[in-house]
Amino acid sequence: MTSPTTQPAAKPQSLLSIREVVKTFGKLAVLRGISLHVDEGEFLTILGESGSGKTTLLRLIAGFERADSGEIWMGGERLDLLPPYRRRVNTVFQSYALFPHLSVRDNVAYGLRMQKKIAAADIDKRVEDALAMVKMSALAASKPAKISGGQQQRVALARALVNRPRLLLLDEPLSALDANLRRQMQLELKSLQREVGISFVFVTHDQEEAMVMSDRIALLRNGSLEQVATPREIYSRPATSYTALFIGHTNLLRGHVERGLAHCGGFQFRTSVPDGPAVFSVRPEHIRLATTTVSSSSDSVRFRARIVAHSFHGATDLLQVECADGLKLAVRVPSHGALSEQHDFEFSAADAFAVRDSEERS
Amino acid sequence: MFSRAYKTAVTVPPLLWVTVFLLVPYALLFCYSFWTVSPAQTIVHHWNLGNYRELLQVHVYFQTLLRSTWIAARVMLFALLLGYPLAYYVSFQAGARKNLLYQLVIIPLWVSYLVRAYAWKTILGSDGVLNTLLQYAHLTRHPVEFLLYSPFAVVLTLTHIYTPFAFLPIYASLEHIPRNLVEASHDLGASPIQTFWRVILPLSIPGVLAGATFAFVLSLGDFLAPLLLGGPSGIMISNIVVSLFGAAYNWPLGAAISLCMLLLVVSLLFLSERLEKKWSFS
Repeated sequence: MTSPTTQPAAKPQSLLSIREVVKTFGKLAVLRGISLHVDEGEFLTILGESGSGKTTLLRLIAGFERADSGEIWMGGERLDLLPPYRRRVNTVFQSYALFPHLSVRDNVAYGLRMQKKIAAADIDKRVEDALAMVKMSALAASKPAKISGGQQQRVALARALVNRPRLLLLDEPLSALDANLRRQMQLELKSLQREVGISFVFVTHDQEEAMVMSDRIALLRNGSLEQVATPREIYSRPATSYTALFIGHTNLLRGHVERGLAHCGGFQFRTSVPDGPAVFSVRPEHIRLATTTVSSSSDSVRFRARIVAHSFHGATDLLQVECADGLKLAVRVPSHGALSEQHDFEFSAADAFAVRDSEERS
Repeated sequence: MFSRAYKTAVTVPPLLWVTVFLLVPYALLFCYSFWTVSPAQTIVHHWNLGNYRELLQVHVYFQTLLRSTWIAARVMLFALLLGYPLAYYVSFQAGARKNLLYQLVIIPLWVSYLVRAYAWKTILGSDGVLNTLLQYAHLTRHPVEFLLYSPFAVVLTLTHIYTPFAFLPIYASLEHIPRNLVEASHDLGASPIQTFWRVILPLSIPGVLAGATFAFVLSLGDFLAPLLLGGPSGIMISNIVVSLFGAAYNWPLGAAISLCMLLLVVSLLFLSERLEKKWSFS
């Protein structure tokens, strides 16, 4: 199997293309015109809170639901007109959906046996390879009820991948696992995806999981895409206040801009944002404890605040501070001993990132 | 958790009920089957195997038992052939009408058995609905006689009466199949027909076994349908038992036949239970 990720400089081609897809259940609009593409060999995560429509979007790609309007294309073919059993797409279900009456081996062989043109010997070989890939060869004869959740998850993965789909859909496959196993599986899944070179569309509500695994994240909110970008970009350049709050922690400063100067509560700093009302996101780790008596640089914003809470998080400490005007901010600093109640803080104006206010749409 | 007195209070009444109304009568039946009737028409408590010997030697008993089994087998087959597609349709295809259809299957159970048996009598009789229709349509000149008072009438009536009993466990087992298994099957490239044979049918086997057992066992012991609609050629084993305990006044022989049937039914239930366990995976 060739791995597109190893081909340097080759511009990845769009494998899946979702165009203006709308889906309603009764009167409830679940997806309000989604347009999204998935590249060849890409790991795309659809991230969103419960009820954002992320599972519905996945089910539309798999073929379990039909869109009210819009089209889904895969490699020059209208995918949304095909029944699910004609799509070269496989799914890893949230609850794994292993067939309880079939052994692990027969579960994995299921998809290959449905295709008439594969010889029995080839099926056996591919099934054994797939089981070896997920380290489940030893339990091949067991029934699904006899193996653990993590093992069922591997079998579900092997059952989908053995068919060599062009696209693998994963519906919160790690949500049933405990935290340690989940972190381990995140890394395994990511390296497996690199290995097989198949495009993954991964649905999750866990932003940390999305950050760790994805090439790109599509953030879904109330049936609309809020932002689609790489994890790094979506974190450092959030388009909206919702994105800034959902991906990691942040402080939102509301105010207005006048002749290149932002006024947000007690803060004033230079900005390139055009005049008018504005919202800025300042990440907690971008606020520092001021050590000198004067501002360390010309663009730094300096303020005095009272520390209301101080919690230890290993390498860092998280502070809740309250400014003189009552504004509460989160501050992340390198682990520190006891701090005096009042302290000077500063952040640089460049770290105050202007975002579009998404408040009115909630 | 619960006090001793409470446990006693809840367990003793049902145990007492089962003992007085089930175990004691069966024990009596067991004893009777080894006793005899004297020429003076009294029951003699003289232990012997004569009744069982008579069962094997007199052909009519064995033949009737065979006919009953054959009738029950046909009823079971037709009840499954009707009940399974119906249960499948209600469970998987009916959508919003699911509850309505389910109720429609249940409602006939509220109508007295006798009413339903008599209904078939009116339909199948020589002046019945069916014959009137056939003559009206000039398909026959004279009433068709074989419809009523035949094994056919018994099988038809019993199938009508016991199909809901086959439907219910099948429907329950189909309802228990997680729908994402069906989706997973489609996802893996199986067509709806392949999905039925490879996922839905295997997972509904416990319901099919329970439904088949219900239909077979209930039909095997039935005596009203053959009495009302069977005629001489449609007599079943229970009719013989009834007459032995009644007009013929041969309780010991009736008890022997009853025990044989009981043994047959209990082994069937046991077998069906074993098979159901083998086919359930949750």
